Amino acid sequence: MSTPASPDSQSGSTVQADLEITYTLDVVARVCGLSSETLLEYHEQGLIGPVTVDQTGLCFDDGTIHRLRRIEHLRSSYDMNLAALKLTLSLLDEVEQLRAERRQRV
Amino acid sequence: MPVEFKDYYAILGIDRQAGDDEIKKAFRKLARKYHPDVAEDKKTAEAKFKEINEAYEVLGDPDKRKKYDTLGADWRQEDGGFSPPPSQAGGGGHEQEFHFGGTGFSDFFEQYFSGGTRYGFPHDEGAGRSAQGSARARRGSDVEGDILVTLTEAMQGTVRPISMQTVNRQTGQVETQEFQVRIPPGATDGRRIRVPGHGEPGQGGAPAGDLFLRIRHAMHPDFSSREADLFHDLDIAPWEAVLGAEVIVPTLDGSIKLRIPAGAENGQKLRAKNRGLPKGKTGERGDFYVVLRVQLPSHLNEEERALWEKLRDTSTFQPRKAPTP
Repeated sequence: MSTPASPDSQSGSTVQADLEITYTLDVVARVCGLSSETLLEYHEQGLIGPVTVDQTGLCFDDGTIHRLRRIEHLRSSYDMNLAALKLTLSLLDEVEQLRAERRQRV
Repeated sequence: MPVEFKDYYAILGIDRQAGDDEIKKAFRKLARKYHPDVAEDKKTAEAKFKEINEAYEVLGDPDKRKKYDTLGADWRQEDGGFSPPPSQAGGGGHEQEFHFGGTGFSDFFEQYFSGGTRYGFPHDEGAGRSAQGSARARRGSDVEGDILVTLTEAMQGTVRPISMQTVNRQTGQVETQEFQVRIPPGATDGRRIRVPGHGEPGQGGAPAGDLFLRIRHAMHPDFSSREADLFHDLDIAPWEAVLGAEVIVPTLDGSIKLRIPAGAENGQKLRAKNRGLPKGKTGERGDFYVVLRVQLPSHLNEEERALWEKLRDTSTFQPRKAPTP
C-alpha cells in the first residue's frame, strides 16, 4: 500500500440526515439515558412535547432529544429544579423565536 | 487556532456609521448580484454570496454588530497580520475547544458569532481534568453548530462536507473528524438535525456525543421563508392595485402567472398553493405568498402630472375623515 493512511480522516463517510425521523418514548429514554418515568413527567409538565401521537404512543423527534440534553445539562450543571427548568426553557424558546422573527424581517 | 479578521463593513461596502436601512439595502443589492441562482460566474459568486450573508448575519443583528464593533476596535495588528484581542480570546463561552468547517461560515464567524456551543460537562470541570479524567468513563459532549443553507439547497436538498476539530480532553491533542452530511429537501430554518456519534469523543470507552446542526436559511434577495412557506415582496404600481393586473412572478422553481385582483391593498398577501418548500417525502409543499407593495412614482413628466391632477379633481375618493371644525 503506497497511500499513506491518515488516522483521523473519515472523509467519504456520508451521514444521511432524516428530517422526518421520529422515536418512541422508549428509544428517546435510551438515547438520553433517562427513565421513561422521567420523560413522562417532563411531558406532563410541558417541558417536552410529542411531535405526533399514534397507536404506539407518543413520538418524538431530534428536536426533543436536543431539548432533553439541554435539560440534563441545566440540571447537572446548575442544579435546576423543575420550576427553574420551566422558566429557563420558556425563556430560551422565546429568545430563539424572537431572534428568528428578527432574521425574517429583512 | 488563529483566524483572519473579516471586515464586514467593507464586504457590504458601507461605512461604520451606516444605519440599519442602509445595511439592509447594501445587502439586498449585493445578494441580488451574487446570488448563486442568478450570477453567471457561479463559483466566485457562491463564495462572495456566503461572505455577504455572513456580513449581514452579523451587521444586521444589533447585538452581533455591537460585539463585532468592540472586537474590531480591539483587534491588534501585528506583523502585517491581525490577532484577536487578548480579552476576547477564549472568552466566548465555547472557547477554541472545537472548530467547525463546511458550515458555510468563515472561521472568524465560527469563533465569535456562531450559535456553536457544546455542553454535557459541568462548567466547573475545566481545570485539572486530565489528571482525574482518565479514570471515569464519560460520554462525550454534544456539539451544536449552525449551518448556512441557501433556499435553493433547502428546496432541493444538499450534501455538505463538514470538518470538525475537537481537542481530546485526555491527550490534549487536536482531533479532526471529516464527514459529509446529506440534508434532504425541506430543511426549514431553525430545524435541528442530529448526527449521532459525531460530537466530542467519549472518555474511558464511553460513546461519543452527538452533533446537532441547526439549519439557517441564507438570506435570499427575493424570497424569505417561514417554516415551509415562502414569501416574495412584489412592487406594483398604484393603478395595478386599483384596477387589477396580471403579472409574472418568480418563484424558487420557475415563474408563475399571478392575477392581482382589482382593489388590492398594500401589504395584501396573495397565495400560490403548494409552491413553497417541500414538507417531507409526501410531495406536499408549503405555500408561496406574494406580498403586494404599492410603489409611488417619484418622477413625473408633464403628461403624467396632468393626469394625476385630473384624477385629483375628479376623484370622489376620501382617504380620511374631514376634520371636525
